Amino acid sequence: MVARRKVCMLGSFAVGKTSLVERFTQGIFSGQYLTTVGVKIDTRDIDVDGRPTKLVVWDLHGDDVFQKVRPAYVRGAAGCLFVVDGTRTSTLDVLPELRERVLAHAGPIPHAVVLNKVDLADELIVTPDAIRTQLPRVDVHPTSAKTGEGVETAFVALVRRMEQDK
Amino acid sequence: MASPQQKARSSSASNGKPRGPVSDFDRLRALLTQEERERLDALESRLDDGGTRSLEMSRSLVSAVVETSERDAAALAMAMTPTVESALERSVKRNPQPLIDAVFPILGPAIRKSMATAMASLTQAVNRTVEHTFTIRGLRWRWTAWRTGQSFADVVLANTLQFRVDQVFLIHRESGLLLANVARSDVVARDPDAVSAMLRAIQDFVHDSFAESEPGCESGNLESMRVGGVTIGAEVGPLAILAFVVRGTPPASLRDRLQETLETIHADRADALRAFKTDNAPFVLCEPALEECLIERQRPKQRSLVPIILGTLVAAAVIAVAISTFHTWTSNRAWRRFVKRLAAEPGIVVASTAHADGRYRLTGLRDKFARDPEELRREMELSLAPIDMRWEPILSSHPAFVVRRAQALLLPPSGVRFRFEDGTLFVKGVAPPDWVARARRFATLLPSVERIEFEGAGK
Repeated sequence: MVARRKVCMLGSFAVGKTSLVERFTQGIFSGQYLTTVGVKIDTRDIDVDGRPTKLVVWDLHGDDVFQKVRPAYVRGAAGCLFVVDGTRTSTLDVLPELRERVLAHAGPIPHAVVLNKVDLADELIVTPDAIRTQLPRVDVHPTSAKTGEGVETAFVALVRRMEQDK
Repeated sequence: MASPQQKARSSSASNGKPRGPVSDFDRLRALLTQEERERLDALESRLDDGGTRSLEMSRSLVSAVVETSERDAAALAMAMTPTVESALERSVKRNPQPLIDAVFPILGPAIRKSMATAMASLTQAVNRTVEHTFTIRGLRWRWTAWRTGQSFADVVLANTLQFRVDQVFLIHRESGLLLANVARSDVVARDPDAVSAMLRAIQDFVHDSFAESEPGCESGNLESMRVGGVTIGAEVGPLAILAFVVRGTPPASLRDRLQETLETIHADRADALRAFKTDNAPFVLCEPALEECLIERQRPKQRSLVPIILGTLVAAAVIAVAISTFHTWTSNRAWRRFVKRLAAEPGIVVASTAHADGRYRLTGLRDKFARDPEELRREMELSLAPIDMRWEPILSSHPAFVVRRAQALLLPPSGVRFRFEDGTLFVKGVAPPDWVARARRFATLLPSVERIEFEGAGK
């Protein structure tokens, strides 16, 4: 039997959450849901270490994140990816408080930070170390939704963490 | 049994210490720990002895499985599945007969049931197709389908269905994860996991956006959404949501039915619902109950006046044809009887008969002294169509007609009687001599009369 796991994608506006999800999944819903309902859901069947898993990825709208994180949307999640835009430090600054709010609703679930847009090497101002300074003991995965670099790795690592946490 | 001193020595040797005289301390230690050491030795021997261990484990294995199954059946099933699958695979490879024998009693009924269901479904589909293909209504729907670009099946469904539940989702309330899903075989279900999560998200969105700010609606939920001819509804329970997709107009009783199903699932699977994290295996058992919710109800057929009028006309035509056929039959029968009677009459020869344009025709030969056909018809009380009869005159040699002709020609006095037989006209009675002479002279002029004989005293 395939295990089903709810995974939430959170982060500030335009950090690339939807692009990451689109890179990772095959969705049936249009991106307009994000601005109307505040969430877009896609699924992906993935096999990690011989264990088949169906990931149900909730891509949460990132505009004014503190107001828009609906408790119901993160409740019942088995894992969470916080997305930071490597070209904007402000997207990292909001992360500690966002993480605190999410974990307060979802419980102490496995989570990691995705440092997105690493393909823009000349504009990168956020480093993995800077993230680790703000959020010690949190895994950081450099990714590029544009090239696909690190996307699969980030999700697979989260699935492994969720399996360990089971 | 070894003495404490011996044990102390043995212990000392096993510890790798140099052998030597047993110290007071060792003796003291042996004395103090003798009982515990014996118990430890017994335990060691139990653990080292494979046979004893297997025996003890076999005693506790059954109760351990029963206890685990009561506590967490899903985990036990998951743990045992690979072993059971592997064992079954090996068993089938080695000798499939025992499994065949075990499955055989259920295989036949299962196949028969499946075939019966498939045949019933096929028959129903063929009936519908025939009904919808060869009727004016069916042609009208084909025209509508062609005109609007819809599939014919959709047009038929829209016109014949009152409602039909196409899909049912059992959703975990907290996470929005899909627990179980059933759909009709002809419905293409697009990613039920994503759809169920989205339905849950929309529920939350509506609740957070509207219900919380409306007095009295704080605990309310989005019960239904309508898109074209499709309704998406949800019954919300404390641990799970039962969402459904319905075509047509669902009656209120459908909600009661789904609510009952959700309540039953809550009652039967409360522990599994509370413990749900990722594994929806326990909820496969809910699928039969969900399948029972895939209800379909046809619209009652509209009573049209056209079939009634058509039926009446057909019935009237059948009755008219029956009456006409009966009338023709009785009329023909009477006609045949009439012709037969005519043919049997002396002095009448029927040459031909015909029946055309509603009239009977008859041609023949008739002696003028023969019976009048119209009189015969009246006597037979025949209700026949008009009869055209054409008679050609003949002189019949029937004795009665010869006698009548003789009476007409010879005008016998009263008391004189004629009789004709084999060409001879016999005369009997008393008559004047001049009449007798005249009779002798003229009698042989009559057709068929060859001679005349007088039998009476007055000749």
